[in-house]
Amino acid sequence: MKLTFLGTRGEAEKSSKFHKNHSAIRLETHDKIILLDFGASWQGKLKFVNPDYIWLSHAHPDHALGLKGEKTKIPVFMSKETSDRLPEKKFPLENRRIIRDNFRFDSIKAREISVGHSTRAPMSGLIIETDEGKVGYFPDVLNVPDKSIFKELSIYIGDGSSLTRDIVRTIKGKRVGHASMTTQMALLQGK
Amino acid sequence: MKKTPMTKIIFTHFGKEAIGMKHEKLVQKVSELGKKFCPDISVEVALDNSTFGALSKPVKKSESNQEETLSNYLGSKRQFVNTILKYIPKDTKTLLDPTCGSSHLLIEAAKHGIQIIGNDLCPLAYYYSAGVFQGEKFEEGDMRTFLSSSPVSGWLSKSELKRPEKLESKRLIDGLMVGAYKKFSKGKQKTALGAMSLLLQHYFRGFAAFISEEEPYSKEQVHNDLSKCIKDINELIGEVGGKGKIFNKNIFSETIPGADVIYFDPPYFPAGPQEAINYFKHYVHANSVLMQKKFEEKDPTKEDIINFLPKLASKTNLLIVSTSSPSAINWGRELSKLKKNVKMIGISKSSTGSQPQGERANPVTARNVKEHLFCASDSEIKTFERLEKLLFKLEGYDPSKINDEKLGNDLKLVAVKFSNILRDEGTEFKNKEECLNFAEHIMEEISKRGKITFHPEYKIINGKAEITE
Repeated sequence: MKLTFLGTRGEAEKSSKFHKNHSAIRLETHDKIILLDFGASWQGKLKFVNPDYIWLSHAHPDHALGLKGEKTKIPVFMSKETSDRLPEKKFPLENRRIIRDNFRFDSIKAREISVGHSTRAPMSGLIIETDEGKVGYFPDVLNVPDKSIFKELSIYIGDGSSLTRDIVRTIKGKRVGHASMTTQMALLQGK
Repeated sequence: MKKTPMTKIIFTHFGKEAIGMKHEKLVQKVSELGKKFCPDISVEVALDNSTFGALSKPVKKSESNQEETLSNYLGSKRQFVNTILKYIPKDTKTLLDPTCGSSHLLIEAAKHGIQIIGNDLCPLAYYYSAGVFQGEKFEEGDMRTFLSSSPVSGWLSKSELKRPEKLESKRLIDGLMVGAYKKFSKGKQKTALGAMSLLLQHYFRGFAAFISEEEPYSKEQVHNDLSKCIKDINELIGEVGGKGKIFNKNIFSETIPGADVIYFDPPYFPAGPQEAINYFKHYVHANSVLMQKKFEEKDPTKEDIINFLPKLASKTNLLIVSTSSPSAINWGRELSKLKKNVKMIGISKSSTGSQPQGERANPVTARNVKEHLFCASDSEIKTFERLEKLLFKLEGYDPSKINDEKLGNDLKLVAVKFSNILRDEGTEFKNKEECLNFAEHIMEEISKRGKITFHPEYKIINGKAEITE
């Protein structure tokens, strides 16, 4: 298993030498390459990564806009909510795979988990069984429905939007935003 | 809640707070939070283009405190070579490896005086192996000529990896590639191409470097790295040059030459039904740069491999198949159809990080890498002990003059020899004490440098590495 963080910038106007490109991770496991998210700054660069599968966590630009205009046959796995927010005209993806809960990237077992983050673009976390244990990918997260999902993870890839203060707004009575790193670490400890 | 087996938390998707901080400060802050909230788990900050094996460190060069050593992207079987050699009879005169990769087995076999024939369709493997076995040593003048190659807009700058186009490092590598083809001929050209293969194997380890907006490598670094590659190839030419031939053919459609032993390491087959093999895909960019044109070969299928076995078996007394995917093909059954005796040997080595793909070794945790050897022969299958080749001279050995990588290897070798002594097997050391004294000299130097990663045969006790008995 090998993880390459192609981009580590969220939806921030600021960028730096170390966090220039929007979210995108290349995960290599079981001899397959899975691309996790492909944010706006990656537009037109899909062929460099040339993955076997693509996973989109949600339809925010810093996670999905890199696929704009891509008429690709590569299977793109996402929730129905995400797919609905990526119109075919702008995202002519030829092989959309709508998933919910447990699914497989062919033989690689994975699980989609709806998590709290946004009402406009509902967010899904991913747990994937790599050849070296389960990896959890929760790049944008405010809360999770069930903390026990973290119990079996070997590696947690989390949301770096804020260090210690949660970023929360309430829209139509629903809380949206990002849990801080400390909140996520507390969640991981079962607190 | 039950304690998690979690070993690592990696934060990504940074917002303005983190991006606005100085990088060192961010790393420090996150690490402090980690110690407070998750004291047993390593908490890390991901950077653009950083790579993590399951438990290895990011390889971003500018961030690394460790000395960067050139890595060889191919060659996952390197660590099994000595075990495989045990199954090759002592009187073997010729050894064929039809899918030889970077020839680790062939190089070792050649050192033992066996004439070798190698082949690989993958240019990255072929050029490297051909450089080692058929190259001619580079002199100072050749090196200068090579490094004086002007940057040009070649495959790396112009084709699929063109964006961002402005990168001078791409034009520089293209220039060196063209230089290798145009400025040299015969053996020297093979050396130049072998060195370029090694350089590309190293650079493509973190393939993302070439799609970054920033220059991943300075001219000085490319030249330094290439000089190291040439030095490596020169050394190997000195040891095994001229002891065999390497071909670059699609072996499945070629006539197979006969050999006393044929060693066959077929492409890796992933688990699960109907899985395609993506062997060539992994190397497509590096191969294309090396050829300065698009590399378009297709991977063989399982059927190709099964149909190939009888061809191989008919050309040798002993066929050794080495595979890390033993369940994809029923090797035992297929080989039993061809030879009277078939023996399966499982080899397991402990490996740290993603060494098979050339990553830097990881000092924290090791995992087991399994390999299966199937030996098929009409005669009895035996093992043959070879005398350990002496990798260092005891007399005048000065650890302070040996580079980090070799020093680490030497220590490992001493550990092997030490265990041989404990089993009453002969070594070049007179006795246990002499071996321990020797190891102590190396360890003193290592402690002084304080930056060599250790394999799990060693225990770090009070900051010092000690061989475990």
